[in-house]
Amino acid sequence: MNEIVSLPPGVAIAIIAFLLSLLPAGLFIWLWYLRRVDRPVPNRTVAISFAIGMLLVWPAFKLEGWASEFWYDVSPATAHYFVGAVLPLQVMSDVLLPALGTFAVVATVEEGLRYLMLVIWYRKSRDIDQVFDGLVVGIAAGLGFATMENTMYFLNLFAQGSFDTLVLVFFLRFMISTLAHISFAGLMGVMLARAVFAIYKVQKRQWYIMALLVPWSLHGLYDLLLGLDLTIYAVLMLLPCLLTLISWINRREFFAIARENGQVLVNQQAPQTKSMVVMKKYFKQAESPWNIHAPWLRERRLRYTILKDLEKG
Amino acid sequence: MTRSQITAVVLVGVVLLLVLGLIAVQVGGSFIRTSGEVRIGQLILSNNKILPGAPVTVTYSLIELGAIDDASMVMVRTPTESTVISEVTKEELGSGTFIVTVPCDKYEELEKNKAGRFVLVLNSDQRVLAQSESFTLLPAGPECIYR
Repeated sequence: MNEIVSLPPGVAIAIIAFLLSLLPAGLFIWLWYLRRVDRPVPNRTVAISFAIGMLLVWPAFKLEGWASEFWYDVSPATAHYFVGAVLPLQVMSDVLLPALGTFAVVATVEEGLRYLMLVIWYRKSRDIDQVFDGLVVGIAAGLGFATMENTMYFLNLFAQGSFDTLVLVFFLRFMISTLAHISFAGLMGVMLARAVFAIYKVQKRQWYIMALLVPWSLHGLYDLLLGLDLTIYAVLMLLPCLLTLISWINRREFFAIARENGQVLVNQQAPQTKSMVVMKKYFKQAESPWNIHAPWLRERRLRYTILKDLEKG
Repeated sequence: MTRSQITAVVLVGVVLLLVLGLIAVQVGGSFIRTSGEVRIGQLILSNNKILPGAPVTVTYSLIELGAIDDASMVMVRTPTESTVISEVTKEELGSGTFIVTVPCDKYEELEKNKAGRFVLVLNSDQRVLAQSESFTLLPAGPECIYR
């Protein structure tokens, strides 16, 4: 008879935590990538981006840990501000010191690492040739980061024995922090791709600065609002970011092929859709001298030909 | 997908996100960032409506007991002031719970704020060890009136 393989409890819990953390990541990867028939980047690229996002958690946590210890050594009396404010707020420093922790440490470390990784990758990669690719790869990196962060958070709660708060806090944090990382990384991905594919130096510089500044400020503000116990405002803050990302899914100019064989193209054109080809053919025929002098034929053509062509498309 | 379908999906998403946010506000605790950096503990109250003069049992979590080397004090913190209401020894903290009482004579000064939090502060360097969820202060109870 086969014996049941038993894992050490720590390993088993880590596996369960990781699998649970994969749930929201799987949902969002499906929404932004897997359900598309015309996937813009190869699966391999998305998988690598997700894996690198996960790996970034380790240096991020290390740097944040060092920053926290440094703060504690310099000023133990204010070290608690690193995780949030003492509430209710009484003086200006109750907001400024947590803001220092969120903007100068957390947002700088997490967004800075992601920025460095994406800049290097976008500049070298041959798979990323549209702005939309930047969006997908950025979101995958953000999801990887959120997945690993959630796993570690779950393990920490489990180790502390905080079972009473485990389920609710865990699942809420799952969704909220995952959405936050999607927003920041997605925006960064698009802006960086625009920077890499920009032809003029001034534009390039502007996009490079924006790609760091926008996610950094949003991340800092989001963490600060959570630290000040203003969770609802933190969630509301994510709304415009997510709506922007959703509106970018079908933005035509983001599908323009911007790079070929590692060279940025001067004339970046979006690939033509079938309906566009049909409409082009229609306009060519409609504006022919025959149709200009016999407008009733244009009407007939519209009714009998174009509609059929569009349906076929 | 048609335009109206996209609008409907976006609206449902927005509503779900708002519901998620409201639940998170009720549950709390979602600010805790990572495993290593938790330096502020949580004081958990048996009841979040506090009666002046009546003892309140407080349990705690996430406090680094190793860092505590002398007595700590419990303060009531409101938007305008922090008032020390009692002292807690390391032994009391070690038991997992301690009892505090909002003194009757503090009621007057706390009354105008109505809501506050308990904050556990280390005596030596005024470091904040833990804070409670927000509580509401009720009018002075019988312990204050018939003393």
